Amino acid sequence: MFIDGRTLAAGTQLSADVCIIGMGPAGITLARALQSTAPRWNVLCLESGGLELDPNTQALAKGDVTGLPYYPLESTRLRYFGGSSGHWGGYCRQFEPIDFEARDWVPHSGWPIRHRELASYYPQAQQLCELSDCDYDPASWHLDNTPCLPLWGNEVRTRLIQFSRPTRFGQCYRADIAQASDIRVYLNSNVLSIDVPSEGGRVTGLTVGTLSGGRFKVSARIYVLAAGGIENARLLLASNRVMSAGVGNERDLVGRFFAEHMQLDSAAVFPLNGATSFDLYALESRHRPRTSICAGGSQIGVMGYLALSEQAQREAKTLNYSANLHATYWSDFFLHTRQPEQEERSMLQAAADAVATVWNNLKQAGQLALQRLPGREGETFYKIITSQEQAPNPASRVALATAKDAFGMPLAALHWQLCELDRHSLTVSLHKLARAFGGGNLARLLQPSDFKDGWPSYMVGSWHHCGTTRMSDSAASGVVDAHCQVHGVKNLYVAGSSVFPTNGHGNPTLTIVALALRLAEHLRKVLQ
Amino acid sequence: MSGRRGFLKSMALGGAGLLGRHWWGTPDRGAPLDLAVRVVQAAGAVGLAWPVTTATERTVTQLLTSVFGSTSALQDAAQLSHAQLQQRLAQRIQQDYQKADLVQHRGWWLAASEAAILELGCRLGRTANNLGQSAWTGVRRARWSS
Repeated sequence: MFIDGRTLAAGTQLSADVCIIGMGPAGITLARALQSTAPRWNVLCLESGGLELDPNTQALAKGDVTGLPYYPLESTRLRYFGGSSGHWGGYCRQFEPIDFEARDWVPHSGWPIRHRELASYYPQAQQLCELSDCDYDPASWHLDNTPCLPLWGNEVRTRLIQFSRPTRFGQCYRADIAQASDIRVYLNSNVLSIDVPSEGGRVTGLTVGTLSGGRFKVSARIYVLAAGGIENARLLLASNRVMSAGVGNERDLVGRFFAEHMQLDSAAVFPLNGATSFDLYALESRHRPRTSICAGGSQIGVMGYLALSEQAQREAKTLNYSANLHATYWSDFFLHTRQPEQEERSMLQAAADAVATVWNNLKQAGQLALQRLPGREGETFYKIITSQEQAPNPASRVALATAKDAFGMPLAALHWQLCELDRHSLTVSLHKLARAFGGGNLARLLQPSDFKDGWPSYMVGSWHHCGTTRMSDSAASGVVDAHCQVHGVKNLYVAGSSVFPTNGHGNPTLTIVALALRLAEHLRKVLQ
Repeated sequence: MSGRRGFLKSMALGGAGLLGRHWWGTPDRGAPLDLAVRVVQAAGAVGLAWPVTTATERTVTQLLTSVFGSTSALQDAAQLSHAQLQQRLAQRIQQDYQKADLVQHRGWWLAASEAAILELGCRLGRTANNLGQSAWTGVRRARWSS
């Protein structure tokens, strides 16, 4: 059921078996999973927003950006029921076995769990994300007239992304939550502090506030932070009244290792002839339904991407890498509006950019029109959109800003950083793509920069906030253990991509949901 | 993430879906191989008479000779049709890709043999006008010139 936290009397004390903070894909999945089998535990959920977006609540997600250029933080997360699934693009792929390994060429890599420990949760996660039950191997799909490229060698392979509708968790599962008598969702209820005793070791309660001035307390046997990769860290760090470094931060690891998936137009592919179809890999065709050959033969939009094989990663000591192709008819203006510094540009500069863009578009339209003439078909070329694992980097972090939000809580300060391994991996990966294309006599690859002089201003993130409460065997190297329990705080858990020690090249939502299912199973055992 | 808003905005500003141009321009697709063929044809036509003075030129001379077996064979090859020449060079270049013999040449990842031919084509275009005319045409068309 839904309850508006603003209607509670001041000083109200609520209690539950489990309190979940944040109702995005992780929180909703966890709440429903805890109710899926008997015994049904009493679950209390705190959601910062309401059922619809509210600008005042959304402003609580603001923050400083001090590292690599990044989006305004409040644009990257949605603070309402359903969370950031409300602007999710629907890209789904599973993490790969190598993503979980400690690789000697990737400092700080290695999950405390293996891929097989998560694999059994992926099928249910795929159902929740409204995907096919099929896998991501092109051989499992009828790709008909959009075949895989006959790439040369075994260093680069084709894999598939499945596209969720995308599932808006706040809409899709709203009725379930509303009807579940043992799930209470308090809307417009913001956690202001995680309260711990002076000796630490456990959470004693939460202090919650509403923007209308209300205050109340929540106590539970178990608390789960599921507020997103930046907000999870902010809440732990800002809960510093008793423990000056924040909760779970004795080793100064909360907020560190922030990882993203860089989105970078890193190169272009020029097909050698028009006979070879690149359609499977083109973003433009991603929603075309294809039929799986699995039981049920469901129809789902899938898109191919190019990925380095595990063997190639090991031999070249690279991070995990993938690339999509993008026919070059995005306008320059679109490209530039995705740069955060555009926000700071003057109106005059913006107008000049717009005029230049329109002119460029007109010129390009003319060229493309000529290319469409008989005999010149298929002269499209493709941008390579890199999506690459980020090397774990303690200097890349979320900290507290000096500025404060409407509750007086410090805002988040994001200092996103990349390192030489990120650059090395990108260049090596492009070399391998060039070889796979050239060896198959398919295409040539143009890489305008080796990025040795720094990352270009058009590089952006993917709104994938990972790593800030990383999972580890030991408190010396991470914030949560293999069961997502905060080291040293026995009744506090974390759900979401902030627990990823490494972020693979894949989109995180499916793995967030799978991890939430796994956490629910663990919590059921703990509660009993 | 969703780019729908940005997309719609860009499409509106771009003129009802007029298509955009990427920042590095639009070199001709497939030009490298065409250019290589032109170099061979030009070289064969004058009997490899250009001044072989640089390492690149020596490399390319060796390359062309190895592809065609001998200088005379190269001259004979110059008489082949464009398509036949293209096929023979493509085979050689493809072998280089498969051996991972790649270099970065003016931003392009190319087979070493392919890059050497292109570099020579550019030099010919600048220094031996009569010899390199056809290659230079290709150079300009393909925007290889610096």
